[in-house]
Amino acid sequence: MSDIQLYLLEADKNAQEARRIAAQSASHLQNKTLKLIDLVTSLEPYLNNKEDGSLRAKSVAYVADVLTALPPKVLSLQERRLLCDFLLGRLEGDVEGVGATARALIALETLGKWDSETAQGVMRSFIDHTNPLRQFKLQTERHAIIQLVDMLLAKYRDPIRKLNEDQSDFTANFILYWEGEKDPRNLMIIFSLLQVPMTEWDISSNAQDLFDSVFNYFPITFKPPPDDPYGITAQDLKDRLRACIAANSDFAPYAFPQLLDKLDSTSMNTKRDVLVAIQACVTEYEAKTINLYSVTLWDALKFEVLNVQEEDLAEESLKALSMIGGKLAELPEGGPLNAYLRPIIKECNEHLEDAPTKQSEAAGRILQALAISGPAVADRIVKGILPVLFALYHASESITKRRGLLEVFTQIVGAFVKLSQLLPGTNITTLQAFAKDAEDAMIHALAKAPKSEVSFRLSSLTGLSQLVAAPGVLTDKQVERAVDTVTDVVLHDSSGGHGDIRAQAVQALASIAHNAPQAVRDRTIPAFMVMLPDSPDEGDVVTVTLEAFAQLATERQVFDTVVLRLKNKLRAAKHQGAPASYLRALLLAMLYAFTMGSPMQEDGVILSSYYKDYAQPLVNDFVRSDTGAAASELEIVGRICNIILRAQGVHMQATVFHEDREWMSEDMTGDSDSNTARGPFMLYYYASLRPEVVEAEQIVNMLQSQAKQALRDRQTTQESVTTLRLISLVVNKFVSPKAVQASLQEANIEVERLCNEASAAQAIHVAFAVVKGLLIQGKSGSLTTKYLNSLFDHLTITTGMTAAHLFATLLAPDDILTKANHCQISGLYKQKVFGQLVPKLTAAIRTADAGKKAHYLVALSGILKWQPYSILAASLPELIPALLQTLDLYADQSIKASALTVFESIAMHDPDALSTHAASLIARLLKCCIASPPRGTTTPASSSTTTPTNFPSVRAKSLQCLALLPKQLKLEIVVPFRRQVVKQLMGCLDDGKRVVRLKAVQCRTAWLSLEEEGGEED
Amino acid sequence: MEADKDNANPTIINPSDLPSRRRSAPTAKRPGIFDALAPAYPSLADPLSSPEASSDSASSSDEEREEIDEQEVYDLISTISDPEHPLSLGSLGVVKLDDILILPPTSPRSRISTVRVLITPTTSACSLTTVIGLGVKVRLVNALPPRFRVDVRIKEGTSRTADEVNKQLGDKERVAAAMENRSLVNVVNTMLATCE
Repeated sequence: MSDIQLYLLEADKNAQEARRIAAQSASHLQNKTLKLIDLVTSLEPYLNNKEDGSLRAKSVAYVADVLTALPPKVLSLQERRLLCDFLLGRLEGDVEGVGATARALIALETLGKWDSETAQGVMRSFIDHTNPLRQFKLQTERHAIIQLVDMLLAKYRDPIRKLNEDQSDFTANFILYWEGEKDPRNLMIIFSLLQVPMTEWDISSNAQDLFDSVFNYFPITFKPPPDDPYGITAQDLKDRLRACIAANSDFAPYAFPQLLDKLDSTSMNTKRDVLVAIQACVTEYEAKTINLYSVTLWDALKFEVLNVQEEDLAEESLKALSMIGGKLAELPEGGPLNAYLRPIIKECNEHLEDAPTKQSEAAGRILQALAISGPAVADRIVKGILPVLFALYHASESITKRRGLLEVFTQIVGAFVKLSQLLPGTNITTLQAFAKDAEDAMIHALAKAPKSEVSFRLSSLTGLSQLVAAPGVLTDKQVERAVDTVTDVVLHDSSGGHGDIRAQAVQALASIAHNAPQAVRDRTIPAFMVMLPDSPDEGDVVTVTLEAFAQLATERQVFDTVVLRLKNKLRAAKHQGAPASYLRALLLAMLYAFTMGSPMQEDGVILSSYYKDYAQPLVNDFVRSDTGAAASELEIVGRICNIILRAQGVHMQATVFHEDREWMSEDMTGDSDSNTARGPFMLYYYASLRPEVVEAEQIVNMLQSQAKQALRDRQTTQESVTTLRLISLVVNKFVSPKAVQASLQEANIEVERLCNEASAAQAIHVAFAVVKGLLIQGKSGSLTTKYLNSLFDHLTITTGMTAAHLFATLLAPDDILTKANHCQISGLYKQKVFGQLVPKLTAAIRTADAGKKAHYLVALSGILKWQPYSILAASLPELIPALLQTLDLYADQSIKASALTVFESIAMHDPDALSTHAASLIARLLKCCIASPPRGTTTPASSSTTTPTNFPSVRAKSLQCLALLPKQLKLEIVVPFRRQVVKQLMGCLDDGKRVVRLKAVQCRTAWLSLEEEGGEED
Repeated sequence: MEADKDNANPTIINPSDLPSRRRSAPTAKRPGIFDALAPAYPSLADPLSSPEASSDSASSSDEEREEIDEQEVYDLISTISDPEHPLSLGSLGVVKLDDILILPPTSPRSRISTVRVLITPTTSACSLTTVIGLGVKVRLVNALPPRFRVDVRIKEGTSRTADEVNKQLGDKERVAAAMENRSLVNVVNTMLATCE
């Protein structure tokens, strides 16, 4: 059988095999065992078969497949031309196999470039003989033709364009050719190839037809089928269609009316597409074209802003309006821009007359958006709007109206601020002319308006800080006036209560400090200093002033000045013997500045010179000299040292530490009382040091002396907290993991020993502190496991309640043991505690007697309190019964609160786990949400004798938890409880505490709404 | 819907001008910004003296009772949505703090106090006044303890249908009957959906 016969046999059954046969023919052609003329002749009976169209089509497909498989240079130019003529000749009489024809032509073109005539001939043949394309039902056939045309337009631009110029009917037929195509794969190419005629051909006589041929597809509503292998999205189609719409200014007469017509659509998605298309047109069309439609566009687009349907539509419309302004500003003559802005300014001015309304707010947005588009536009807006705005302002007595007007003004200024960031050196002279008027108005509002006019004064505050932010609008004198006014509000607006805008004023002052640091340094800071005495009589007012002053440090430009003044004030206060509370407040202000403010940095690290300038003098004044500074002062000094020192490098830290070591070491070894007194400072100081700075020997010494103190029983709570935290820190950071046990034994605080000294409460505290340090470090795994077991065993003894409570401290967040303090933080320590202790605890709870059970329950809830929910989630079936029993521990509020938090998480994430326990959970929650439970329900589990009342936080929490149930649990589970819950919550509505009442209302609403849902079910 | 609103463009009160308890609290009682510098996590020795010490210190003031006052009633009803606009009754000025009055029990033997709320419709011809009144009434009856009698009325001279509406709102039977009407219940529920 000949190749063609074999091919025809396989063509329908096995495309791959068919292609292989064609490739075989191609290789025959290549090694000259087959002549082209023979191959064509062999086709004859099939190609001319009058009855069977599909046979003819398959024959052409064979040719296409052979040509595709053929390497270049096998066929001569003449042969290629012959084949080309042959294929095109067929089209005139027979369009069967048109897709294959197109493929064959593409293959021929790859074998050798065409001349102009051939390219034109191919194009004409298809447009003339296969028009319209939609007559071919198979997408693949059409796809091949589209690819051929795409190739022609890409590679033979000039010859094809000539067709448009020379042959009058060509373009019209070309446009008609694509009509009715629906397949997204084809459309993607058509939209792309049409851009060639749209942008490069002279299409003035066909503009409407060409435009309509693509706009018919607008808006695209295509939804890709699931698992679409082609991955074409609606957005891809939209993007290409939009590029067509915006391709040629000649489209404008058709594009804008039709787009605006579609803007009235009820579909938000259509409107979105329209707005983006309009933006594209404004960008792409010529400015003089846009000029013709600018007012029409304004008349339509404004409604989207004046009556906002969807916020994003309003924003897109504003963007379009702004782009029109920017485009028209490109024209050298000002007429078109004026023509566009005139109606806008007129309408906005009208809206300003009834300010404040939704419309006047919209006017402000419109004016701001336009002004941002360029200095020329901004200039005209200022000249058109501001005279009217201020005339209205002065003519009106109404404060709300004045506020509305000022807000619009501030929006225009905001545009100038943005403009001057984008284009530094923007001309602001027009705005300057109104600056005085505006500043007067706002200063008057802040200084003289009634304090209860909160929004008016707030608007003025924002306005002033915007005015200062627009560079060069205010003169230096005017900036100072603005700064003085805001400073005055911060310092003297002591009304309190409703109308207190000091917090906002402080923020405004900080932002002003960014733009006008000199004025703030010259005016504000001295004014604050006057208000801060060296030694005050009355503390309260001063604290408020100090808080405000410290917040100025959030602005880097004035940071140094603020801390320097604080330091001087502190020195003066100490010298004058000011009360301790004042010293403490000054120290706190300094700490706030360094923590929340913006100190200067070098390579991302706070400047080391701050230590010498600020921390060192504090250490000398408060820590070294025996002035008997209070523990709280020492702690703050320690924190200030910590925040500056901890990020510094080893070298800098070592230098500091070396200097301090001498006077500190006296303390460390000795048993003096100053040792204990300096504890709070030491804690933060050592927390900031890198481990390599401190030598091993010193560490053991320190551990020993700290341990000795911790085990003494004459410490105050505060002192022992500090000592214990220091022990945790040292164990975690400084003690080498290899020598842990040895170091602990040397310091007399080996955990197993401590646990055996059951009598001393101090011992068990130290044990927990050591284990906490080790646990978070995560480097001595087996030792930690052993120690955790010892702590667990301690729960079995009768005085185990102390230990039980301490379990909450193991995982509690700690601001000393952090990465920033160079501590070793294991990522898995919470999992470790959970995995090791929780199964043991839940097992013990099931079997223990009432007294011991309380210990286990308390320990369990302490561990769960700080666990991320994801860790708990796997063990819910064991945890829930235990947690329910925890809610019965009447005496213990914090334990109950943490159990309630866990229940809240469960109700949020895994409500189904609660379904079987609904009755017992609801009953217990109802008990927890009343202040004092009914008499006689005190559980014997609690050994404490305090009156069994629930604290407000517990009541609120349980109500919050209870409120989740009707939403989270299945209806049939909760509905039976509705009546009981709603009735009992009636009592909670009269709770003594407001927060609890609020939660009770929310909870009761949640349960009440159940009935309606349930009712609908019936 | 858009076109047949009784009042298409009502005046809206700026949120910062609405009365709120937080803003009217004396500055001295608010926590200062410095207090946040030191977080209050339980530390190792906190439960040293007694287990109770570890719980929040705020509970020490547990004995002080915070009475239900006008601001609290205002907070309960000002967040109700207007049936016409997506705005709260507070921001539309339909309910005002000054128009809420809590009357103590009339005789020493009675425990029943009265909460009187006067409603100001956005226009004098607002046809939804009754529904708004019903919403406020339902909200308060559900949210206040039973020792309060809830009295919702239209403020004098603000509505042409005031007498009629007051009669309806004052009548227990009529209110109960209204709440049997499913479509009315749905409207009221939508209004109350924005309440916290």
